[in-house]
Amino acid sequence: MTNPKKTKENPCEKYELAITNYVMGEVIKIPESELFSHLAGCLSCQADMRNWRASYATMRAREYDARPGVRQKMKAFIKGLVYQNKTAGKTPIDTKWEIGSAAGKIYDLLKTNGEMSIPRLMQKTGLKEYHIQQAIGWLAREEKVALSRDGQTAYAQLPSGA
Amino acid sequence: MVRDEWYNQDMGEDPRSDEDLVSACLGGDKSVLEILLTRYSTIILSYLLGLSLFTRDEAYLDDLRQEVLLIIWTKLRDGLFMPAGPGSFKRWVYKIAYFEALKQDKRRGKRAKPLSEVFPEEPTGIPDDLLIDLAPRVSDYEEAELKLPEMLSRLSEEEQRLMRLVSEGKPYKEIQQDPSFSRYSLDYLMRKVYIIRQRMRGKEDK
Repeated sequence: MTNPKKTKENPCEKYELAITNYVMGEVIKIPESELFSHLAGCLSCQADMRNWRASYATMRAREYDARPGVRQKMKAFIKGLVYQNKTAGKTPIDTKWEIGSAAGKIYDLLKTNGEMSIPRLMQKTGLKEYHIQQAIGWLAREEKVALSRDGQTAYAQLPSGA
Repeated sequence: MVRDEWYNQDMGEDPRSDEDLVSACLGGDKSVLEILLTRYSTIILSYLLGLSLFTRDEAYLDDLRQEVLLIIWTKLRDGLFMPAGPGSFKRWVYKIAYFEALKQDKRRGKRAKPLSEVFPEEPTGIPDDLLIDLAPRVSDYEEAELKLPEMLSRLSEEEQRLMRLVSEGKPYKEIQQDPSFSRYSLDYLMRKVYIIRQRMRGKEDK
């Protein structure tokens, strides 16, 4: 490894060095306030910070996804999303068993994790959307779930005191 | 362990553009959703990591990525996105990731503080929205995605190994535990990573 040498011509060098380490969550050798004062007035260092944040994030994401198991988990998640609604034919529903057991699963999950979005519940339980909706209706009727909405996404949680 | 596929991963092999795949999806071919979501899976994680300055909470960001993929899948399934020229799908994906990240950070009480709160005793004249302004632009991510393999190929084997450890989110103190780097001081590693960055950007010759 060659010995890193200081480049004297670059007036922003100490700030670029600080930016490199700051973005990685490491300790920097100048006060943060000094770094940000400099950043506020230096377009070149602002661009440097954006560039390094993007490069570092891209490297970390690729490294994370290359870990054993992560990629397979993600592929399984995507397959589950895309193909879960491919059912055909009509079969009678055993309401009490099918909806009741789905409601039980959802109740347990909300108890453990707190508030969750409907798509998240689908993913975590592996249940189909209509099962989730039916089960939530069941729980709501028994006042065992509180629902809220943020934009187009609905969230479910156990009512306070449950 | 050296992984050859580290910076050259299969990001969802299919010669069709995003917009072509979306059109196929709107035409009823839902199987293309798998290709699209696979293609964007790592890109979304990069974007979320870039937004969440120096977080080491990868499990949280992985969960957030799944939320973003769910939203994209739901909207595509319901035909709520119409392609409007090249790049429109990518911009739409980034927008969804951005707003979902903001929403989840808010729900978890992780909102970034204004800089005037970070340095209350020092009126530095730093604008409060500077941190927001320092978030990478979409073009920064696109450049990183495109140029990363070539930038890393400029490094020696040892430098590549160092950057791989850095990319695993390991702090310098942990990197020093690696037999290849145990002889280097913290100061040396800090400076070395900076020099490597310069080389990756083509600012300094080998």
